[in-house]
Amino acid sequence: MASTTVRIVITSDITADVMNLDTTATLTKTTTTTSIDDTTGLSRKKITATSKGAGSGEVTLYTADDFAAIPYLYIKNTDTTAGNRIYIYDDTTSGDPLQFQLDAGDWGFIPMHGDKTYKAYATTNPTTIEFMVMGQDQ
Amino acid sequence: MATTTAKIQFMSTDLVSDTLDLSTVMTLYTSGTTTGMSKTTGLARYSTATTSETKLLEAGDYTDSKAHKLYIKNTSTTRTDYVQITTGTIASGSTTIGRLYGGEWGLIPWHGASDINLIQSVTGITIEWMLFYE
Repeated sequence: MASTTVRIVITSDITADVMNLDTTATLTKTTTTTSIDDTTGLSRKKITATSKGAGSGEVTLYTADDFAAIPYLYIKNTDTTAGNRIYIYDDTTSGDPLQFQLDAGDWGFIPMHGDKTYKAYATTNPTTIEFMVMGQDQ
Repeated sequence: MATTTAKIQFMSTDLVSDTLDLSTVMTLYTSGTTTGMSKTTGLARYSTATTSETKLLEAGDYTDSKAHKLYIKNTSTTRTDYVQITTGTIASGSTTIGRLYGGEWGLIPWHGASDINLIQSVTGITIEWMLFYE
């Protein structure tokens, strides 16, 4: 019985009429209705690297194939100063392409493919990131 | 100034031994500012008659290194129907970001430097998506 859910509520007055979007997804083992079993828990780490590939000071958010597909990744830049960004790149693909950019206060929720390692660096040393992976450990 | 907020809430009664209830709210600002994001594509519905990779967002239409946010949902009620999200130029090889199975959604912080593309597992899957951009 699936019992882990993730809900998003988006409210905006960008348009003339106020927008209010509210939807919930149940997180299950891929293609089944069986609840996911595993999570890294909510981690909180300081990023001290200010460039890609710096090695020391980068934070590894997820290691390729650590979970069976599809792992769900939650990421949040906890910084409150505008301009203090976190960059997340794909450390598995040639060229280490940039995947996501989190400005101060931003969060993201990404149902990953699970086969790539993601690492983070920031514009400012230190910047604290919170992250959590949920899914099926393997 | 427009105000746009996005709240995420995780709830679980059995993922860990204690009940999990975690939520956070962000206000969507333009990159490096506290000015509210003022542009959106609106909520769109998208479906194609192909299972080949198709472009959803053209990077050239948006400014790079910005705080764009892509909300995307696979509306299929069939759990095995998936939509694979990729980034990069299709012709020269893209890389996979993730997959949305039936009923799943994602909120992707998109920097705007590379195209966003989709591959459907079967034809006829309807995607709902909305981009907040600057």
